[in-house]
Amino acid sequence: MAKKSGNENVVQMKKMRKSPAIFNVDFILLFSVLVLLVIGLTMLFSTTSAANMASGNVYAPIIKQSIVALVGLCIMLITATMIDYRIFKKYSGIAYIAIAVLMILVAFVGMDSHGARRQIAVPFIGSLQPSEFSKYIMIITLAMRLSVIKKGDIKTWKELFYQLAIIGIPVAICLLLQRHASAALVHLFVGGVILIAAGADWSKLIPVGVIGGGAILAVIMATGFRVDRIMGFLDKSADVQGNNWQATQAIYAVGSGGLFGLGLGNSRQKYSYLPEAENDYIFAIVGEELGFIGSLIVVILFCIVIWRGISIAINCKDTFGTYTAFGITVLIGFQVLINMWVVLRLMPSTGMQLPLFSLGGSSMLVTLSGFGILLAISRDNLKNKGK
Amino acid sequence: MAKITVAEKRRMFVLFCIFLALMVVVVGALVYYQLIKGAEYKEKAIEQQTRDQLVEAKRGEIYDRNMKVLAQSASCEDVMVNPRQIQAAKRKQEARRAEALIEGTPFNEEDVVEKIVTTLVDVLGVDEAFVRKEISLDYASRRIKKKVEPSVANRLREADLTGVFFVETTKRYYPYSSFASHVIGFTGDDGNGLEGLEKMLDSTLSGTAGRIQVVQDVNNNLTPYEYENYIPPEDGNGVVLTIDEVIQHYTQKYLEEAHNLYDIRNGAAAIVMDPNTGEILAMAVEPDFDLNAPRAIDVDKKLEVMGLKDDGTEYTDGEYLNKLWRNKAVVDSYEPGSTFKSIVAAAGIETGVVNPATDCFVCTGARKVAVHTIHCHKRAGHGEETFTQALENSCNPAFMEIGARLGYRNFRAYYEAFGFTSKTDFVLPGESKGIFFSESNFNEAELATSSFGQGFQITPLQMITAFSAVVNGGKLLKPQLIKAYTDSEGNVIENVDSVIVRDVISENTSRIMRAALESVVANGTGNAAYVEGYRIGGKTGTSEKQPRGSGKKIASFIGFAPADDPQLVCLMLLDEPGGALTGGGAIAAPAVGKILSESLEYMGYEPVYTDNSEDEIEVPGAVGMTTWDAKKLIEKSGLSVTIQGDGVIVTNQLPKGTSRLNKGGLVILYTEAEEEVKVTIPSFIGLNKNQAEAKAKELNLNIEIKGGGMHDEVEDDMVAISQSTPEGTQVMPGSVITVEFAYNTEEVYVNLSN
Repeated sequence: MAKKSGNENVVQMKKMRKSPAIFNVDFILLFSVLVLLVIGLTMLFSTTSAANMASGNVYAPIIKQSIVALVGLCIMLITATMIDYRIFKKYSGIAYIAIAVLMILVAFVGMDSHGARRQIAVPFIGSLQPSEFSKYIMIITLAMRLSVIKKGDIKTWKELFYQLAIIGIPVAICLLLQRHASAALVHLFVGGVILIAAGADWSKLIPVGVIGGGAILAVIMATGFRVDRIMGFLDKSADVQGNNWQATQAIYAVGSGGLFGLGLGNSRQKYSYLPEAENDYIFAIVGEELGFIGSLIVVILFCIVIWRGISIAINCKDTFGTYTAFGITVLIGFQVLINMWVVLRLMPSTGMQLPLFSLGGSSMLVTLSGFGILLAISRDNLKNKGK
Repeated sequence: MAKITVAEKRRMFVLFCIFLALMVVVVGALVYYQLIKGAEYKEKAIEQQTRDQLVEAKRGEIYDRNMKVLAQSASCEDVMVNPRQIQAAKRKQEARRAEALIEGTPFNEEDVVEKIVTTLVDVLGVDEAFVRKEISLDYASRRIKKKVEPSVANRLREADLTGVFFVETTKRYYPYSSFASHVIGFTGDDGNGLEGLEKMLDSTLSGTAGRIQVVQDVNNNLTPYEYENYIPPEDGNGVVLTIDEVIQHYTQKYLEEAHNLYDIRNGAAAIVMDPNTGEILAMAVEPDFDLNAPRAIDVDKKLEVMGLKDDGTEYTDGEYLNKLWRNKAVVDSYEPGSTFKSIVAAAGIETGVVNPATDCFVCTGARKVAVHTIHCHKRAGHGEETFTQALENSCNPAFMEIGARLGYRNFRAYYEAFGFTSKTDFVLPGESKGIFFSESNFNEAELATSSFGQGFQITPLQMITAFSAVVNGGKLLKPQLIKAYTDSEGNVIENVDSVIVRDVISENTSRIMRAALESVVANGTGNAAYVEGYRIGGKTGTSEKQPRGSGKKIASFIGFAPADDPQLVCLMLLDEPGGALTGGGAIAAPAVGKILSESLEYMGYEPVYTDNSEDEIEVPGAVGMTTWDAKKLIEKSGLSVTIQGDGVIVTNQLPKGTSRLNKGGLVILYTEAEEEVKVTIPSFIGLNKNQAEAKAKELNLNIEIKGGGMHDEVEDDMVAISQSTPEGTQVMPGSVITVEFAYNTEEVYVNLSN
């Protein structure tokens, strides 16, 4: 900035003051998110319309998801343009306790689905999944904690214990009470990456990670239901009707797409070959219908989103903003990465959703809200840059 | 505000780079799966998603000559189940049931398997155990029932059963069921022709099946997609037969009647041909079968047709069906017997060895040939006879004479020229060509028996084809069963022309033969074929079957009409008659006469009657008169009278006034005091004229004698072949019974070994 001429600066300043608030955020991020949202909803409609053809209710899922997306979009834009993100710092503690309590309650009184209780019934909306909200609240709480301590404290055992406690509580609830391994994994991973970025001592992190990881693995093995999926992944030649069915069908879908795809709406695999394609495996339908070109565009758009997120984190002038932005970016990136790796059979199935694509109101709502916070931070960054 | 350090920024940047690297792996995987291995995975996906479905071509229709549909195809469906899918649904339901049990909530879903089983059993009428077994197997597709009507399949669709699906196919229908069954034939389950025309014209009728690739989901339900490689089916062409539905109907009706009436043990056949074109207008074989259920086994019918083996065991169903499906008119050869005399006579006239106007034959009742004495059916001999009389009498010695005059060479030459040594090249399967003596075995005795149609074998089809040449002006025609071919819509695309094989005899010879053969019916042994109002000609035949002396015979009659301009030739053959009557003139001739006359009437030939009832007397009415006056009145008119009872006034009379009686007929007068006495009708069948009249008189019955033939004369050697009121009926004394007489000539007793 300093190298630019004064005149240019003045012109830019004037423009920014006059232009509406929406232009004061990271425009590339906003644009990428909107494009991804449009592609995501379109693909979801294509997928659910086939799956719901038998019941005749072709439009029900997409209408519900679109309404949630619209609400999410409003929250995102309001947050991005009007809200000072620092306000979250103030309420993070209360929110953290509230969501922990809610998650515990859900584990006992929530809606039963496939033998686990992870959701609560909400009038008009249907259901909410508190663990989705918990991920963001944990990130904000961690960022708050990092912003209030001295730079060197992160390397002490005492501070590490605090941090690990913030991460560990939702992980334990997800794993032990809700039997929700993928949610636990997300909390653990995002929290761990934030600690690494913040400069936690490797010599302390590694033993803690080994012990914690071992414990989680033990729990997973003990509960049993995950093991089948992992074994199915390892035995690639297993009968297609068995555990490997979904993974094999996903590859058939992706492979069928070729360079240009079968065309929007023309997936064959969505007709009951790929079970619950609208959830974890929607990227396979993207591959089948939009081909390599379409898939690559989606991958690039997500990379741009992550690039902008990291950039916003790095450019933020305060620690809370940095780690909030960083955490949200890591969360989105981790989900995208794991989801795509699973679909492309680079790792076993984990039940990770693809943000902005997969069916699920809670995920859509919190993801868009998260982008809202990112955009709010970017607005602050741009304002500071201008000063 | 605490600012983040450069180290923190660097770590974030490194993490971003790691993310990018991992996303590059994603792109790499996309390149691998979509671009490098794309075609391979696409092929695998298509393989599982698609089902190559044959689109069956519609089999062509078979029409009669007036485009009445005799065989047609309609679409129907095979009912299939997917046992794996049903088992999976059952397991899911069990899980829900267990869950409900644990939670204490009510569970009132209908059992998946029970619903499928009961619905399939109810709607399809299939065996319950069979359905249970099929759905318990580890398969994705099992057939429950073949060829179900679409309406039935739709009832199942409405029931919306898990794992039940349908495969479209076609079914062959024969609207007239057992009509011309041996001609039309039938198809197998796969739609291929197995018998008759369905077999021989299979490639014409069947067309070419098309193919379509349909996209289905895991449960074999169709998705909205079709792949583009759709090959449309080419529907089969139709065939128009020369068969006339009405004439075929008459032929079947009278063949069946004769078959049942005369206790025919080894089947019967009849053919009607247009002698001018060689077109087969009707071809019937008894016993027949239902084309819609050709494999149905009727136990009683089987026993009747097959009897028992020599060791007392039953024949197998397969043996029975083979016999039932056998087209006797084309496949089986037989010794024609005296019908063949028409051929010998024609050859005799054509070669000039017989002069029909002047020749005189003498029959002494037998003729010595080489070392054998061969008898005439009339042991007493026919005495002196003209050519026409010899034919009328079916006199064996006369024909042995004609055969001898012809000589071996001419006999053989004409035998061949009339087509008896080769197949007629007929369209139906399994045609036989007959058996004739080899040149070295054809000696004096063989020539003699051959002259009256014994010793060699020909097919009924050869016989009617040759006979047509005798009466049609001398042309031997190829017998035709197909008139035209149509496209799948029924539009004629190709006509089949009649084929003249060769000229065998001259028009003049043919004209003489027509007159002589008409005389056989009008005045001779063929009198039973006579139908008032129509000019019918023909020749009887009763041949002795091998081995000689078994008493087994084949009775036949070949007739044509109108005698001056033949339009129809009809041959009927009754194999092994088991009743009192066994002569072709007695049992086959009446049926042929009826077939010919009714067919001619259908074709628009009006009967022309000549009144020849001059011998009949009108019975005067005598009721209310005194018995004395009545007796005087009736006797005066030339009738005789019997009075029943002691009264004075006639209260009733039989026959009634104004009815007609033969001269000398009996009128019974009843007086008031007399109770009416009933008479039981006896059987007159097999009696000659004198015996029948004596029997009638004894029982106070009036008998009306009918002789058939043009002059209605009853010769002493004729026997009764039918009576108007069945045996055992109770009637009033004086009732009139009409009894028909005909020659039941046992034309042959051949035993060359003596």
